[in-house]
Amino acid sequence: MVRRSMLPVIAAILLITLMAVTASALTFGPAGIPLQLIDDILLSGPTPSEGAAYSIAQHRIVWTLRLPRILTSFVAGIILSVAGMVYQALFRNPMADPYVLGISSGAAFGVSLAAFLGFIGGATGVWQVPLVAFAGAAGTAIFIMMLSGGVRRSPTALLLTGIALNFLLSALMTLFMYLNRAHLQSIMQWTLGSFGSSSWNKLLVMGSMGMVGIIPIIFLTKELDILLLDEASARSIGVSVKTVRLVLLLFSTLATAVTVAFCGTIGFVGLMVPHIMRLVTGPRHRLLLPFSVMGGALMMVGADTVSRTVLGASELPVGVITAIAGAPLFIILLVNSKRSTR
Amino acid sequence: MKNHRPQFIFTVLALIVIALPIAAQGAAETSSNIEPVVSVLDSRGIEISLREYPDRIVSLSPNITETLFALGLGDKMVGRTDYCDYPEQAKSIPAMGDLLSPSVEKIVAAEPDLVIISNLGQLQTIEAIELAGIPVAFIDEPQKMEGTYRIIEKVGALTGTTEKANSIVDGMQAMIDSIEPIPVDSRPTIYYVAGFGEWGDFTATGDTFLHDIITLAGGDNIASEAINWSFQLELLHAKDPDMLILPPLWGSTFEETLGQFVNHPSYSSLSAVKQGNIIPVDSNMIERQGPRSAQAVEQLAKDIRKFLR
Amino acid sequence: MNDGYAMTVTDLHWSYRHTPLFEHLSTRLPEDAFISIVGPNGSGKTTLLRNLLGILEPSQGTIELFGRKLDTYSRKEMARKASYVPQTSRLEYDFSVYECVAMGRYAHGGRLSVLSGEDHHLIEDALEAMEMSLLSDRLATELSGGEYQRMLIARALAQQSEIILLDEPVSHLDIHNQREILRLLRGLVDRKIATVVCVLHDLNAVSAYSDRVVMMREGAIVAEGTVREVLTKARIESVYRIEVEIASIGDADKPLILPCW
Repeated sequence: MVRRSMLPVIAAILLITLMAVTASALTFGPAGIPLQLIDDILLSGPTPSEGAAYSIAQHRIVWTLRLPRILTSFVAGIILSVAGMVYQALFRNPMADPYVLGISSGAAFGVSLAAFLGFIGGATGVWQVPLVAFAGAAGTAIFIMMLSGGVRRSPTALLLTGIALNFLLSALMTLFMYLNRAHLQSIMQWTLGSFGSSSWNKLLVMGSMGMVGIIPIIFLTKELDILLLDEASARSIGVSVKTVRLVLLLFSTLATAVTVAFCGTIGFVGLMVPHIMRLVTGPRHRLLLPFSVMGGALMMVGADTVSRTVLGASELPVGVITAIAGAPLFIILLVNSKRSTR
Repeated sequence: MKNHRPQFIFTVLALIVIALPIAAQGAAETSSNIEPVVSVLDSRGIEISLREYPDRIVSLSPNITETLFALGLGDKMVGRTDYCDYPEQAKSIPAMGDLLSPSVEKIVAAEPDLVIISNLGQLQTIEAIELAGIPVAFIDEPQKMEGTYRIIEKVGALTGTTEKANSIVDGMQAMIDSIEPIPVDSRPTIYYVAGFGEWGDFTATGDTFLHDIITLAGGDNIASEAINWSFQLELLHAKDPDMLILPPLWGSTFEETLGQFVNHPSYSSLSAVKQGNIIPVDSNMIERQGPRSAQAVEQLAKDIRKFLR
Repeated sequence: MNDGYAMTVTDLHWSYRHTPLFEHLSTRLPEDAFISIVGPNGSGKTTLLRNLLGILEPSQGTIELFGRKLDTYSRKEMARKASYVPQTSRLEYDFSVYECVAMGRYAHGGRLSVLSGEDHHLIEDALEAMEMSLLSDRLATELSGGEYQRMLIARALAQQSEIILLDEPVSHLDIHNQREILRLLRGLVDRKIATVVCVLHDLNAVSAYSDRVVMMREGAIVAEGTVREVLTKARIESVYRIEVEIASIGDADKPLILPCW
């Protein structure tokens, strides 16, 4: 943990880096739009000006493709890292990530089932896939909660039920895809996660639902701290443990489900960002939350920018990049933590 | 009187025992002197050697099935995949399963003389069939029109129809040569919509056979620099191609695919969409490296010239 | 009506998965007293504490806290009346001692996690009462057993509750720390800061510090009263099933119990 006095400095650095990365992300892309033009395009507003130096296509690329995409990755990064932070506190387990309650396998299952039933195809409208993905994710999470006796039982029961259901759903999904090979590649690609199909409309839906899920967490940071204690202590201190757990669970799950519905399953951000930030801020959620917000946005915008630029004309799924960045980071953290407990 | 009977019988038996192997050896030598009628290296470099031209053939790839029928060998086929749907007669051949894992049992039960498999199949399938003692020819050629010719020629060589194979290839070559070339700067820019929307943007990138077809037809494929079918949406907007090729996507008809594509907010502002320069295409014909490939080029070439007028 | 009792338990029934533990359990715990709950392992001491705190729910019977039924209290109200020091389950997170004790202020706080000046004063007072002031910046994970226990009590103090319930707070500490903590707890009762209800194993500690003893066996209260009334040779031998000798050194009201090893 870093000294208290250093925290404002680190926060400032983090914030500045985040703003810089987000702003410069606008300039990256295979369409090769020069910096000067990007300035003009931004200043012109959402509708292109007459007789401008830039082409309509360039304006469209910046305003309807790059901008919503970058903002979507920004918001997704926030949602996933805050949800990860909440789950890690709820389950008192630093290995928990937002997908631990079957959200990712539920979403993928929903999509593959819908494809199997012919409800979605290779040519499908804008909202169908997010809809079935959300239904699968939310349905699975609710099912797990009911199956494990709800939050009335221990978080461990919830966790174990989630793991079991993850296996079952993955198996079923594999079965569906096997029976219908045509879908297989498309669905596999979708699960790898991408911000490629971002739009302002989708951002609006995802952003508003996501914020509904995440903003209440701001008011529950004290409770999150106390939930880390054993249950009897938390209760006797005055926290309505069952209620708080349920609220936290529902909100985080909602926000995560909505993110997965629109962006696929992007791993590691929800797991790693709160983990890393905890090394900086310590366990107090009042500090951990804002740092996780910034860290999550930064990691996601950065990863998406790499996914759009590393292969030139082609795109590398962003989930691949977060995994490549996340896995070694994870190992380093593990080694470090082993050292410090000595 | 001494009994010479046993000695006599013994001698005769001994002579038979000695003579028999020698005779058999002679017989074997004469039969092994017969040359194999087919001696072809498949794409793995393995020699496929057959004593007689195959009379019972299983094809484990749609393009191979089309090739066999074009070579007049349709009636010799005893097995195909579920996806082998051209020509119409192919559908009456028993299906052995899908591309990745067809039923080896069924294949072996059909007692083929030869199984032909393409790069769409799996190594396990090949090994399992070979274990049953059936020769398997693995045909995998470069993703170019030249490669297609090689495929047809190889199948011809394997089946003793080399003359027919050569004439098919010549015909295809002639068809393509007869297409009037378009000067490089007049070529229309083209994008092949292999996948769009929620699933991501996928196209005939430079490493695909489709790319070769588009180029031969006189088109300028905007995705020539991209790899592995993946393409970035903003490049599609930046390059704003003159024409779009739209195959019907899985689970949808061409009309449905077209409807979804032109109304999708990410694509509706493209010039080709606004001007309606969207070419439908039979994805089977255009994607399979087989005897119809030249036809696919010709058809596309016609559509391109129609656009240019 | 309060009538001098901190807690009143009437006809409590509690079962663990259909196996009854408490049946018709009743008792009254007076205010401003040091009350020890003793009994062999498994007699239900921890379960009783948890019922008193409302952490476990009885299937029958009522518990009253200062004259009011337990289920009429909200969680926060309850926390302002009674606090809990559990058997140590060590926290694995790097909160500082100050932050841990500060958690005790939860029941008095508003929506946002801001501690007022008064909160800080109370936390500092609690730390001082438990002689932890110098350690307030230390991480909870770095404390010794005795220090950790003192921190938990400080947290209960910061909660400003009228009753503190402790579950074996000194069982794993050395005799020096045992005495220190028991002394501090006794001090709270003497200064009328809190009523202390403590599960203890060491009968001599019970003898030295308690105003009142509640002895349990197999889910029932078999005796309650003063030390002299409860800690008799006959009773101890029958409940614990071990021979003991009772000696008296100094204060006759605080006998020494010597088990026959």
